Amino acid sequence: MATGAFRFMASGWIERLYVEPDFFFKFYGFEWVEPLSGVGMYWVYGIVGLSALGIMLGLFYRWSALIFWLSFTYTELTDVTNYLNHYYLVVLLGLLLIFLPAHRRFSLDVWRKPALRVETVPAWCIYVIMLQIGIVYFYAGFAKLNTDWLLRAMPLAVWLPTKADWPLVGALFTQTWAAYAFSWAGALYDLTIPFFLLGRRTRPWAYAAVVVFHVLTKLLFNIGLFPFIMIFNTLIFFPAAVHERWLDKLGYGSGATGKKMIFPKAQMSLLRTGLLVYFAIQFLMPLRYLCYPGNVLWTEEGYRFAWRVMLVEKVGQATFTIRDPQTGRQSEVDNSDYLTDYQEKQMAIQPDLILQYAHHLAEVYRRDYGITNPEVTVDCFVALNGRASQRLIDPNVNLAAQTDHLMPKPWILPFRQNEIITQR
Amino acid sequence: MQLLKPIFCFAGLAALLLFAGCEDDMGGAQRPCESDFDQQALFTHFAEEIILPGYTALELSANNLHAAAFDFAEAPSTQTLADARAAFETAYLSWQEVAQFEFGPAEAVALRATLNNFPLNASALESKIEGEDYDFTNPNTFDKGFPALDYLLYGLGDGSAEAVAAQFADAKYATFLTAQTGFIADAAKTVSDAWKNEYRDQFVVNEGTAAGASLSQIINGLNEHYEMIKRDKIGIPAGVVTLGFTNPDKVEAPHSGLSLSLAQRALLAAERFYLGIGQDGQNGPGLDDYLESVNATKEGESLNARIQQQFEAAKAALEAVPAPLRTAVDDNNDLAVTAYNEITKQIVNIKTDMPSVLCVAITYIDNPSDSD
Repeated sequence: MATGAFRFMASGWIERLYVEPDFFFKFYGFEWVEPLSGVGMYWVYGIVGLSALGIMLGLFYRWSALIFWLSFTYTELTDVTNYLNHYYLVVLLGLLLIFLPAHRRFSLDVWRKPALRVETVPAWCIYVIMLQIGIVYFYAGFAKLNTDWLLRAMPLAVWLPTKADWPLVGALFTQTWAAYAFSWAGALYDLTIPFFLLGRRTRPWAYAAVVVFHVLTKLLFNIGLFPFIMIFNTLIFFPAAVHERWLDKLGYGSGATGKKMIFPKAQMSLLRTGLLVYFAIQFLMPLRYLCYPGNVLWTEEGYRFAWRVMLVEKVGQATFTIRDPQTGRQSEVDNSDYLTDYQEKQMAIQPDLILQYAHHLAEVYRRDYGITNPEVTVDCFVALNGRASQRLIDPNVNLAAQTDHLMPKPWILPFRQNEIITQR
Repeated sequence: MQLLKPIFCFAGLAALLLFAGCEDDMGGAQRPCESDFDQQALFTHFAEEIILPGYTALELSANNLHAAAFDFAEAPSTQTLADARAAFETAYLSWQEVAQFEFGPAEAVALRATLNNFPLNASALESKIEGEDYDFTNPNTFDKGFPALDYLLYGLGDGSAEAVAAQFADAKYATFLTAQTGFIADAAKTVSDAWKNEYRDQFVVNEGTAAGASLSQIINGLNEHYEMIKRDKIGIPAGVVTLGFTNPDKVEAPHSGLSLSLAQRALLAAERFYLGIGQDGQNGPGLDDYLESVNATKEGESLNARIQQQFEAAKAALEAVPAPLRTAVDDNNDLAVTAYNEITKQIVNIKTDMPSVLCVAITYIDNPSDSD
């Protein structure tokens, strides 16, 4: 039954070119993941594409799903600056797909081995996807409940006016009230849509809202495939009968065999435990920011993997200084010597990346300039959501002597709200 | 449907709780990004009183330079050389006024890179002369433009007028010189014409805060060049990025000794651009007025006032460095580093704060992929 909902998975994951910077930002705990050099990454993307095709066609499904998940996750782990929430969603869905029997009806596997064919799968197979999507929406809405989003209409007040050249509605986007309307509507949508999708009577309207909302975001923002993922994925909220009806109309309907998919008991209990752990993590992950002091939009401690989408317009500049304590000589770093423009932009607003880069610089100066114990400091200013900038990092702290960990980082300076920009 | 009620209650409750919880999270400023500042008036003033007159002046001085170079090449003497040098100085200074307008027509022909890539690679230039290569359009080479003229008019032999003039007995040098000055004059005319004709109107009506809108281009142009003043003109020679080991040969105009005047002119041009001061000295609408119109403050102070103060501080610090810069970076390194630091302090104001409070989309840097 679930098969239909997963067809989107195949659409063009390899469209993106792989850029090759000299230095790659690593995810905490995954520092050992290195990108392949030369054409290697193209092969990986080729594998991602083929395995996604395999999932879509239901060909060698289990292997395809496993390979897709491994290869896609690998590409995402190679550099933090490429992190996007919707790639993370693909990683999660890919993981779930490995364990779901999404190939048991409309698939080439069934055509190869007709015995695989079943008419129904256990309800939980559908529920896990629903739950995962519900979590994404709900936490995305939850994250919008902050004063910048609701009371200052930020960052939409920055982004919407850039679309003022749209025909007909363009002028609307320059209006302050429009930014507020979009902000509130967006938060409301995210928070409630999973519930409306669950209700039988609200479902058609909710789905219409899904389509409108995601088409709009697709047009307004540069968010790639995410709208399509959501538009196709939310179809799973419709009951099997609806899918059957459409399949009949398309000429793919077929006599019911009534064969049910049944998981062996042992397998089931294993899966149950696995899913329990998985969803516990999914529920808690977005809330981990509560364990850190300060504003998560500013410190970004606990920011990733939490469905914080489109929440900040941030610009930063980070000037690093290397000092040799033995000679007192010091040097300012030109970030473009080591990072791509995009990496630099991302690094300058995220403390953990600043630290990683500082360690890399220390390493470079040890290796290339023979400084045994280089001190690395940074003068880093970040402007958040239309305000003037503030220092993000304590400029006196030697970052080379700091280690990365998941505890609060004391060298992140707190966000000072009484010094924000005031506008009339 | 029955399921929905409790769910709604829960969602509503959660929303309320969170709302209350986040209330004091970050004090709210009112109505950000709203401004009734007249962008078209700003762009008109910039186009008509600053940018176009700047290019007209460059075109004129480049024509004079070409004529003087031609006279010198025809009849090399210390007198014709002195005229060519004087014309070079004027043209190089007027270039500093427009170097920050690298968008639209100038960007289309990579004006800054073709006219002023430095430091010069002298041996590449020598082989270019030897090979009679008069193509100056490659933006990635360091063997052409004003730095080449600095070398040709001041740096040949022992650098004395006699030695330079003597070298121009070689027809290859003479031909190369006029080819180069001719190229500069043509390039200046191309950009100047474009601003006179179609681009001016395009620029003036390109309102808004989107990337690619005129405001975004102005701010990006200003910042890009300002960072070049900081890094290329002062920082690198002063050894700021090389552990304090100086690079006197990497100044902008090592042979003519003009480096400091050029840097001062460029810094002044940035300030005048920011303030909206036209070629005629009249202070019209500028980015300062724009910042005032949104009441931009930083740490309780007017952002505009901070920027103006920092321009003054930077100019004064640069003024304190004794010419020529080539020797000053060693003899008065502390002064050069101080100038560098004062110039640098401005960057956070104009590159991070100004675009942020004016809500300008920054595409200084392109996203290679999607965002979310």
